[in-house]
Amino acid sequence: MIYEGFTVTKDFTVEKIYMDEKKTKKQVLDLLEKNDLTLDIGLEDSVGVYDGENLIATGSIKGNTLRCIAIDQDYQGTSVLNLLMDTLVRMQYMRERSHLFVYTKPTAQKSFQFMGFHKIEEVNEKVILMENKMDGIKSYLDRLSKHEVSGDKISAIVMNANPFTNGHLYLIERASKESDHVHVFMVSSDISSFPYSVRKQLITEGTKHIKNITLHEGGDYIISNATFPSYFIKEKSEIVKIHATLDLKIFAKYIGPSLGIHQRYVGEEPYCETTHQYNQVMKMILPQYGIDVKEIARKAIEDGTISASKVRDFIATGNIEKINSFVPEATYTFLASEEGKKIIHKIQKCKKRH
Amino acid sequence: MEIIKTGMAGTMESSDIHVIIEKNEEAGIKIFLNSTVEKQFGEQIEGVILKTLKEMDIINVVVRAMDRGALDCTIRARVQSAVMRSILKENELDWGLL
Repeated sequence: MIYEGFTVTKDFTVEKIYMDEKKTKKQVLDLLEKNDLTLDIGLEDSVGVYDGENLIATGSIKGNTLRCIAIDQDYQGTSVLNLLMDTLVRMQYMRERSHLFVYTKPTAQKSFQFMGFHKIEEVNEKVILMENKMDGIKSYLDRLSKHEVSGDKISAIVMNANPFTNGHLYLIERASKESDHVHVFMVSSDISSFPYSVRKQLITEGTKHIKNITLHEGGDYIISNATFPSYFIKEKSEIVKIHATLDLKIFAKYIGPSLGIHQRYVGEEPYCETTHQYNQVMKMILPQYGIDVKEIARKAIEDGTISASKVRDFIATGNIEKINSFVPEATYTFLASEEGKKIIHKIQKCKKRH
Repeated sequence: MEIIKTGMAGTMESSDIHVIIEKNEEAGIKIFLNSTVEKQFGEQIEGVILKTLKEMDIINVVVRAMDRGALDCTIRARVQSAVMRSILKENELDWGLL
């Protein structure tokens, strides 16, 4: 790899950081703490810049985001930032990722601007989300707005559908009946047990009979690694709240208007704390931008209310027949297929939240 | 020449230029330039990028360049490398193109 032991000047070296080395990890934690930052969970890869033995800068990557970037105060405003960013961008490039996001404090906005990043949105002076494409969100919105449908009641639903259940179908059908048109955004980050391609296929097949809907790829700006990283990992509730606010502000300010959305439908969330909190924040933020939130009670059947997490639980415990009454035919058929069996196997092997 | 994948070359070090070459979904050449000397040399830098692309017969492309005061020869070399990578010719350089 390019960044390992890559000597730049005779003083600074860039090295890969392994967090399982206690001493190194402590150095990273100290440096982050001095900069009022904490170490994120589930980082993919981290590097450090050293002046001799001293760690003077650190940064990490996770998905298409750059994280936990900190520079020792004595070296701020020097070329160390260039060196660090250059290394991180290169690491991402090796993974074929060129559209990058950085999640940082508003005080660091200028530095990242200098490194070619552009502000997308900020949450009450706590975090700021930036991207390295000048036209990133704009071109996403331009593409979206081509699907604009005019009407008095245009609705939106965002779903992960991991996997697509009768509950999701119920929510879409309800919105479809009450609206002129419904835009369904499918969370496209591939972090859930069911990969995006499968989730998309099951939503598409399961909603074939509904005429007034458009399916959209959620992309980088809706519940993604960039806008809402804690959706995929259990995090402290304050962090979840900030992330949710960021995600919903982007939805309300940019995505909603580009499609002329009047209301967003969401299913009530009695089980998952993160999603519950997300819904609460949604009810606070969206109305400020003129978008109504319709929270719909979950569809109940004999065996209780329907949820994708229950379906995954049934899968994990091997009660596949039980799922039948919870999911549309397409989903059930898929689970019986070869590809479906592989996913079932994967879920049974490692039980995780999403 | 058709861009196949995103190609990158250069660094963000002083006196260098970091160039990313991407497929353009629409027709034409689009350049996003960010430079420490944009006011003085912005047009000149874009000129060098355009000329290099033209020589390589690249018509539809998005160029994202972050310049840190690179000389024209550096700009040219970085654009060439990034393009070569984006057309998967990095290891079989087509010298006729350069």
